Amino acid sequence: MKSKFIMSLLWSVILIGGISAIYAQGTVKDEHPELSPEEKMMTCRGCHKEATPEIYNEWYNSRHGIDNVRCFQCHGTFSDFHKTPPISKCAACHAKEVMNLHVPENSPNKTCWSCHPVHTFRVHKGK
Amino acid sequence: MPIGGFVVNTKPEDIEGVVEFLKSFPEVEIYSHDEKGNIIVVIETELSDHMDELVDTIKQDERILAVSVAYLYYEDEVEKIEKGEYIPERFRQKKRRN
Amino acid sequence: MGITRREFIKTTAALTAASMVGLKLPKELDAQGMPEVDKWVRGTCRFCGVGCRVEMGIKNGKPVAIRGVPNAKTNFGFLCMKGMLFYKFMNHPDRLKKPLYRKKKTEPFKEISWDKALDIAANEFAKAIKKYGPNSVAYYGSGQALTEETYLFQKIFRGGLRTNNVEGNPRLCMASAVGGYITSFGADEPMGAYEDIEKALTFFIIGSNMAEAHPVLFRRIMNRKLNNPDIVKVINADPRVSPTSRIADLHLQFKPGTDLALLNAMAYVIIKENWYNKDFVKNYVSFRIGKEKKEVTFDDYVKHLENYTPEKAAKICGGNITPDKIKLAAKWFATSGRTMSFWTMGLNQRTRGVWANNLVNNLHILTGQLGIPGADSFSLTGQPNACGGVREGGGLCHILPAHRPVVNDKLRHEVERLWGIPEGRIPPKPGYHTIAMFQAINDGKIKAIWIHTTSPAQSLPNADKYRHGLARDDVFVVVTDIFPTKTTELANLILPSAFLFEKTGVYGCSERRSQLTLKAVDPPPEAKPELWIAVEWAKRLSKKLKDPIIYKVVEPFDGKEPGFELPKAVWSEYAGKLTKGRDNDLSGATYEVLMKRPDGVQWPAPTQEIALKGGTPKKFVRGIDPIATRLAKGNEKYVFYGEAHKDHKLWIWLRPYKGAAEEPDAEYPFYLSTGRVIDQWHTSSMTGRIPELLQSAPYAYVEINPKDAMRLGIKPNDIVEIETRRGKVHIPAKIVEGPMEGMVFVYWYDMDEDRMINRVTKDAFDPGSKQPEFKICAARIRKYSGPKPLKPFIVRMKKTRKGWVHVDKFNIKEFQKK
Repeated sequence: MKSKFIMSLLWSVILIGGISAIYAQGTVKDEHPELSPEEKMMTCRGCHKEATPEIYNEWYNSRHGIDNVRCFQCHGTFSDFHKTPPISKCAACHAKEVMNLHVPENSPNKTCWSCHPVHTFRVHKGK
Repeated sequence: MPIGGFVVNTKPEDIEGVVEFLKSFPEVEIYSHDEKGNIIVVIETELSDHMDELVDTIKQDERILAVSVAYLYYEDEVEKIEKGEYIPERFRQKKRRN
Repeated sequence: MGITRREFIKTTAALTAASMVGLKLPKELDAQGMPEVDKWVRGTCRFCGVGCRVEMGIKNGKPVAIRGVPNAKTNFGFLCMKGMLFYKFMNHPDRLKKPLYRKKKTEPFKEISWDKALDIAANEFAKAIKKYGPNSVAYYGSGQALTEETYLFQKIFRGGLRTNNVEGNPRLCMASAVGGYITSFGADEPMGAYEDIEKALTFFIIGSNMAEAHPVLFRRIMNRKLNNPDIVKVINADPRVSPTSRIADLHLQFKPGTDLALLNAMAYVIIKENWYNKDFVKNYVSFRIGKEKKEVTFDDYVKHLENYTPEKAAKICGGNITPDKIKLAAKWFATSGRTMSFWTMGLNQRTRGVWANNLVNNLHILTGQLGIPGADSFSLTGQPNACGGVREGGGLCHILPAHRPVVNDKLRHEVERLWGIPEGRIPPKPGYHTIAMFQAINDGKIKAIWIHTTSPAQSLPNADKYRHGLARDDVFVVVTDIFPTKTTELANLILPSAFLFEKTGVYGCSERRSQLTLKAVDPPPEAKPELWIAVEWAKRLSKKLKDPIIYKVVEPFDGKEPGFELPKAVWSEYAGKLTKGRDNDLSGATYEVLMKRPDGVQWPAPTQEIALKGGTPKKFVRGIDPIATRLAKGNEKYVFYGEAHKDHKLWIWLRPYKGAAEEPDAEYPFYLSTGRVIDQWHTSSMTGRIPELLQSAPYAYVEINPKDAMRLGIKPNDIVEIETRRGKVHIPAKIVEGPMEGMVFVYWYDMDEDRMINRVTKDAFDPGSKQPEFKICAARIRKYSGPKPLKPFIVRMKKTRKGWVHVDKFNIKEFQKK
């Protein structure tokens, strides 16, 4: 009898977990891969220039890169890290655009990078 | 700490008073309400039993017509329940009914 | 700022419940939308001179978010990393919360009541005045204080205490620009505005790293260039390759200080090639030379420029300067038709800063690139309120509010009349300028000083010399600030102040635009807005000195509600009475008008109608500038009504090349220059308390050219000893194609004693503007050790059994002995 209830409990959890997953989209924070204290003292871009050179170059040659909008402004730091940032972070500078995304015509999970490729943020994907 | 989303129903003229009443419970967070008398609240308690008790207490207020559950999330309780450390009252009752 | 797991689940719970009854939750609660707040309050960013407009999101009485204002003409909604994050330190545990006092500077501080604190402050100043006279007291204010604060403090000191010892840290950053504008144009501050950027065709960025120091304005230039890569030209003139150089078509790299030769050479080419605007020069220009401002002819000017042919100048400049580069720069500058120049500390922080400013202004005057869309000679202001508060509000020892020179009897008496105080109250001579003021402290001539919202112990050149004065026990030092700093370490009395958004007030940014910030939250209990502090202090001074005029000076503000009514009353007096009829007329920009604008009002704005539309984007142009329109006699395009030029002309100054005060020699072969990074503001007392920014810039670096590094055997992160005639510091190395060979560049924000670069810079200053030459002195460098694990350092205070003490390796007792 006990197991039956644990089963129904688990199903509720899975169901609710499923609903949560639809909304998830990276709004819950992530863990940055483990680093030593010395490595943590580097700037994000200082390390990622070597660690993820393609992404670094995409960013460096973008308007964000030239105007010194840096990694942590979107991705947070170790205590508050998001691989895919919630777009509330974009709202600090792009408030109008973020609010315009939330109209009924758009699908509920539309983000900036649905159209603007990440890091380079050129006008439209493929352009 | 289980988290629950509820709709509290009251008559339109009682909205202000009921909101004040709900504010007196530290576990209750009021999100919004409309003019029809629907109040959206989220309740967070230590254990499910506490939540059930709290909802019962709230229902006692005669201005409140109904408290409807929309969403329940058991969080860390799940682990405890699996281990057999804790069984919320509502499940025990259900068991008996079966 | 992403939400935690728990918050996310709660939001989902609420959304589910809401959807059950068809209720739409406010947009702010979308799991992917904006942060949830109770209200958004509009104001200005706390940092640089761009003047970005922001809205602070408040929830439960606490700041939780910031966003830009999309229709503000300064930033159009954009922010830099500092503007984005500054709400985070408002409730930092290090916030000063109680008045702290100690009689001797070697003792710990004791918490005291405001009543007692104000009494002590009044007592000490009264004592000094009674014994040593009014000029034994001084006020050192800031380009980060509100306009209302600077105005009220200087009113108290000048009209009340009868001393012109009123100075501010803009003396260290903008004084040369002020001098340059007044001598070139007859009046202070740029003619044009930021909106010229979107119409300019050539950008001449000299002595500025806009990409890090004015990032949101740089964004507009970057876009202008990247959207029109072929027709827009960018010239970057800087001995150092900086992030700003990334968009430059031409980078002019010259030995520090030789830009005077370069600029003269550009003028030579412009005239030689007939690229100058003959009509403009004929109608609007006078040529001047020397202290006596002797008028000379165009031909004299041409003859003077013979000393600066491109070939001669290239020899002087060294670096990568060739005659061809000079000719190209001159061509792009002169023939674009719309050239905008931008500069800051590279030109201002020099012993010949005024001359450097004149020479850039000269180029614009010569080519008539002023007064038309897309063309301007634009001095970037460093601080958020150096213009509005200090330059306009009367915060320098030689100028009264609204650009009235102290020495002008007629204007000085006019101020006395407007203040309703007897004629003769304001002394007829200027007070001590900043370096002289701190020297006077060293010499025992100043006995009491009020330091407001700035940290001279770290920001003065040759800092140790002046810290000795401030550390004296016979000098009473009172500091108003929000956090402990290197300067509170030398104080007797520390008064906790309210931060921006915890009080209401105006900031005036680089483009003559005054903007209002509304109070959004309460300051920490017992921290007070400075206007209230000043009024209460003045009341007590009035009693102690038995001088009713001191009270008269603050009477209109006594008892006013400090959150809004008090600053409003002070602004009404300053803008409504003192600026009325002057060139920086802001009488149309009442608080009501300022609150209606998304951004603010550019002066002159003599009526509310003009102010509501935003004010004047271009000075001196008939039809755009209401004063020019009023003064125009016929159909002339411009009226250059600057008060300092009775002939209503723009002046081209014949200035020679003169080097820096202390140039490299055999003993000290390197140029030492200092500057900023985007992550840290000034002394890092605020931005250093934001974890993201501290991690991004934890301590100072010395930028060394790779060739020099190789020669000296210095590798990245090695600890380098930098020694000048004034001392030595030890700073980790960054090997970068940044400074030119023979030059090193150090960030000055670090509070660590061993890395505080201003301890070794030189306090030589421009004889005209009195601004120090932070940008050039002579140093020698050597590898001190290999890389070491370094810790960032921010001054804190901690409560011990004996009282509050600063936690710092700097020890005042030992320092006093030195």
